[in-house]
Amino acid sequence: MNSPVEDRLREALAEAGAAVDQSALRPLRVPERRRFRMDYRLVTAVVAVAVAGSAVAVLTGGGAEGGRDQLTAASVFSRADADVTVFLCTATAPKETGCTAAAGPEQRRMIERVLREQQPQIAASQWVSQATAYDDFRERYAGNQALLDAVRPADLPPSYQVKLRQGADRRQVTSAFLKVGGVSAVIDHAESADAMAAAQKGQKTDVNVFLCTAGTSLPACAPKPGSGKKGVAATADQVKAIQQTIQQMPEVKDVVFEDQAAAYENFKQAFKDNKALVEATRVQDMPQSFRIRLKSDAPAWALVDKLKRQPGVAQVVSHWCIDERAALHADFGLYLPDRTVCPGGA
Amino acid sequence: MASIFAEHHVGLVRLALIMVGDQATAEDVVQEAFARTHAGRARLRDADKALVYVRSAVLNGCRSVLRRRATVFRRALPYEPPVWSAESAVLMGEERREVLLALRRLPRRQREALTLRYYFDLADQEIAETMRISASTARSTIARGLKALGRALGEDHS
Repeated sequence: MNSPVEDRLREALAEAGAAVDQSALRPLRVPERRRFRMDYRLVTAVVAVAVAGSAVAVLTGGGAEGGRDQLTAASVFSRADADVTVFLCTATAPKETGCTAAAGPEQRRMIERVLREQQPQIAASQWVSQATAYDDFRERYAGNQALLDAVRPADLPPSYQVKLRQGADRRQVTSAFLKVGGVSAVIDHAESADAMAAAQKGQKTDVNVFLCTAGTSLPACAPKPGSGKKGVAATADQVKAIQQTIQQMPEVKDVVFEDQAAAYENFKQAFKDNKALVEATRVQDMPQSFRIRLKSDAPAWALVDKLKRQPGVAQVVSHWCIDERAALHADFGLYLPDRTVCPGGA
Repeated sequence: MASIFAEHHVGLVRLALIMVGDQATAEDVVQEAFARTHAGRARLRDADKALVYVRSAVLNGCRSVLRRRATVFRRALPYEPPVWSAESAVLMGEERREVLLALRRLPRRQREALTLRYYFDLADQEIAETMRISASTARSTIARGLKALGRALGEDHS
């Protein structure tokens, strides 16, 4: 277990270290010009040995260095080639992850023991430190300043990336890691890619605008902003105004209105395996909604933002936002609220 | 050795940055360590110790910088490098800055050991080799450093 001092120190150092921008570093200058060719060959040989040596050292010693250190043979691989990623707990991980504190060296040793035990299934594995994860994250989301601002270096969980052998039992490998303490999530990348593809296929609309129902606790529906009182339903005039606004938007291809009865039918269909949930839900609980299809696939943040601010709108859900959240979880082990991931709303 | 530097360049600069406080000096320290170890590369027998050796060289460079600064600024105002300065507090948050300031006030050895453990996640043995001390000294230095840090931050009342 980590003490609070250890957690604070870890976070502060991660943040201070992240101040170094990898792309802005001055390149190292070789001080010597003589015998350059021969030196170069000499250096490659030394490094080849050094890399093999450090792999052994890591496996037996249990510690690893700042970068992307390999734990088993074969060269360092990229995130895209990893089959399974084991994310570790951070001090700032939300409650949903089941983490209580940042994973410490003992937990790292436990995970590395599982890596060794699963050797017959695992082709290669490597350690990705918090600093490396943050660099990757910054590079991937370079265009999304709001997201970069919301995520601190200490939020990014360090991880072990694992490449499986042909025909490995994926379920067995992932569940072996899930049993170790200090693990926040184990992602099977093939599975999460399949799930995302299936979700996109089943997706009929790009943006769903949900309207206020009576008694909702969503803050957008409160009679006075911030009053904390139960919400009031959207009035007929408001519904009409929202519909007109949508129809006048140039990005919109078509829009369908779903009333409470239709919403309830769809809900029953979607949750037919969950009898208790369906029985607990009444028709009047279902929100009315406008289901919008857009002309292009590009995220239309301005449209979402405008609709969100219409009176009578409870929330706006867009599929690209859901996709982004899923990607942040699968690739970086981050659990972020919609308002962080998607500028202007869910 | 050149590839070790190339591969770990950012990591080494970060280590130096945490020690000396500003990126320009940190980059100079790493460059200097690179130049110095480059000359002695043929003498490096134990190839798998290359990274330890390089880190050690960087730490040494940081120590000289801090010594030089201490002499220059002895009678002047205390030097406040950017990482823990007031301007960076805006970017970084008062809480984090407080931790870094407390870390900076610790004795040199404790500061180095804590950085190697809590930023680079090194094991006791690796920390010991990097700092050229024994593993048990590294362990006790970390324990003492943590305790002192806790006291400075007012967290540990025991």
